[in-house]
Amino acid sequence: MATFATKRATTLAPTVRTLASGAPIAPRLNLAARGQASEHDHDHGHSESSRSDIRPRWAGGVTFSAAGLVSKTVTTVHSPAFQPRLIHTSVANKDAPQVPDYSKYRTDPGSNRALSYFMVGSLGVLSASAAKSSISEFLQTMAASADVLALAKVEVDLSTIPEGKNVIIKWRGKPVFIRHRTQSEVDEARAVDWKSLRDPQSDEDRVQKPEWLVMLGVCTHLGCVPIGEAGDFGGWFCPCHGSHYDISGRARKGPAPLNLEVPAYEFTDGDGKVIIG
Amino acid sequence: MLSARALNLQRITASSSSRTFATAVADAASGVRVAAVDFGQPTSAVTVLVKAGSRFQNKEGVANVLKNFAFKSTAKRSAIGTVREAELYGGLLSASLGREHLALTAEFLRGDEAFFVDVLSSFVTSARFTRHELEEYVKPLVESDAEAVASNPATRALEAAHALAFRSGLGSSLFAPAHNDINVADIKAFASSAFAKGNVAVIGTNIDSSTLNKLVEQSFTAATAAEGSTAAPASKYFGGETRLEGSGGPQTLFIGFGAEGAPSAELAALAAHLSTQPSVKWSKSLSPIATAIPEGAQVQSVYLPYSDASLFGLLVQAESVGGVKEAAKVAVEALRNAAKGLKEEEVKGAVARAKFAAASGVESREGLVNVLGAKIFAGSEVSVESTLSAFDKVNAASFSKAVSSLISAKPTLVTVGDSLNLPHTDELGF
Repeated sequence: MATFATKRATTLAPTVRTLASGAPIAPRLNLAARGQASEHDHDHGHSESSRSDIRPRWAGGVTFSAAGLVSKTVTTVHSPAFQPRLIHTSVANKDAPQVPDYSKYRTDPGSNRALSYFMVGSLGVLSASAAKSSISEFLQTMAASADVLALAKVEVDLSTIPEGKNVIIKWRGKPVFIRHRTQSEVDEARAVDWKSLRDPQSDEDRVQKPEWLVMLGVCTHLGCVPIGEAGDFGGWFCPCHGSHYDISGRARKGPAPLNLEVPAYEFTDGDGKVIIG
Repeated sequence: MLSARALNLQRITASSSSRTFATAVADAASGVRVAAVDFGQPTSAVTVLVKAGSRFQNKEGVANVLKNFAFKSTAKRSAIGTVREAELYGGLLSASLGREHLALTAEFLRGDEAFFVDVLSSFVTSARFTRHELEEYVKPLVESDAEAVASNPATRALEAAHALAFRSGLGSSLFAPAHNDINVADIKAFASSAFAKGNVAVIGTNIDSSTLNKLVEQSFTAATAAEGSTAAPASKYFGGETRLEGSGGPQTLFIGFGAEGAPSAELAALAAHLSTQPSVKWSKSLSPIATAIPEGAQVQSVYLPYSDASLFGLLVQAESVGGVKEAAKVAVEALRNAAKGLKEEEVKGAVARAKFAAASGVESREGLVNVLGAKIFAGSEVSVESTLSAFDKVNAASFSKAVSSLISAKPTLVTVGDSLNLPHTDELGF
């Protein structure tokens, strides 16, 4: 009883022509042909089992014996040893087989490695700085503009300043001295004969409340910032050129021509704060 | 070394001869009959034999689908789990379908019986029969089974001959029709009737009988308790003629006769008498057919015994129609001569060959399962001796009587190939 191969669907190469119906046609390929027996076959005499499109004998099938006609299906098999051809031995079909050899035109990639590293590094630095500046430029657009800053006011909580202490705050880019004067200091400031001074001004004109002295911390001579609680008159002393100011901020000695300037300020009612500006 | 081997061999032969050939136990708890025989060989096999052959199917092709569904997912493990675990144990799983039985076989190393009996029993007791497995795994196998048959004229002829000879029951095909509407519900219904109590037998080779008994008792207690069983009406022989178109392959003719009742030793002897299988290489056999048929033609004697009927026939194949015609005439002539009576020594030779074939067939696992399975389900004594002793009663008179009563019935004729020119029944003298 001979068994005859049936034609099964197989994976065909894209070069296979097709009929008008779409069915593949391989005119010189005989799918019913049996594989040639060769010494490389591991199953001698059963060369048909090397065909992928025929179920091999060990995978079951119909047998006809004393038990009658039996149809067998094998679930797990110990198939005979075989070597799959994962790669085929025919010559590869290249798309462009006549490509010229460009290798002698190519430079040695190892020779200019230092230059490559330098270029990479410097471009990294450049791009990092560009990134940094663009980010800081962007953040500056969020800052207040100059006209807003020119009208700025500063609110200071006076309750935190103990008696006899100085506080220096920044207002419109300049330091402002706020001093909580003691009664003896007030008395001392008022006891001075102010009419004989270089820039005659009474203490009452310089303060709104006698215990709070508010004035710009800029020396009227050349714009240095005087040091508090220093100098010959118990007030401020400019270390640049030796101008001395008394406890009311009036110029008493040294090259300063004018008293320390008093900015516009007002006290808020009730909550003990001063608003400068 | 040599003496040790000889001793060992002696021990094995002694133990197997002292043991009864196989023991059949009707297991009361599960209703599963168990038979085991130990030849002392290193690998064991357990076959679950189910009366679910194609003669019991209630829908064309269901038995084949059930066969291909074997070892798919069950309540215990998935299909891939079954395969992977079986691989880890190094076992083989297979399913065979005949007209009488469905055989689920596991072959494995000694000691792994607990796992493999569990695999077999879980399919019998808790197969899930899912739709996606039917569509994706089983249908392609069923189709490939049917396709392989469609391209093999000899198998086609035998299938058609069964259909003509027995119509329903044994006549129904082992294979599913090319276009069928078998769905999961059909398979479940068939399986639940087939896997019922009293329909299942377990046969082990090279396994201890008590071990197998214990395992079967454990794993088959959950078997379908249903008492229902597959039953087919007693086979009746009809006969007739059919002519099939065949493209490719040799011209094929099958002429056969059916006999109702239990298979007889006379017909097996007749098959051996007419067999053209030579005993010597590159020669022709002593069969009266072998020498007379034209070159290139071949005649095969076919004897298919079933539980309640048997089919005897001659399968004639040749490349040309003329060859088939001539060979068929020779074969029919030989059959008639056998009916007229043979010389005593010719009958003796045929009986001896048939007896040897039957005895050596038992040595293979499939043969043993086939012989024991038939006896277990028939309820007769489970031993091979009774099969062989039947041959001793055959003599020339009983032989010619059996053959003449066989060929007096209406013949079954199937031709595959050139149906215009292949011979008809009357041209062969019937």
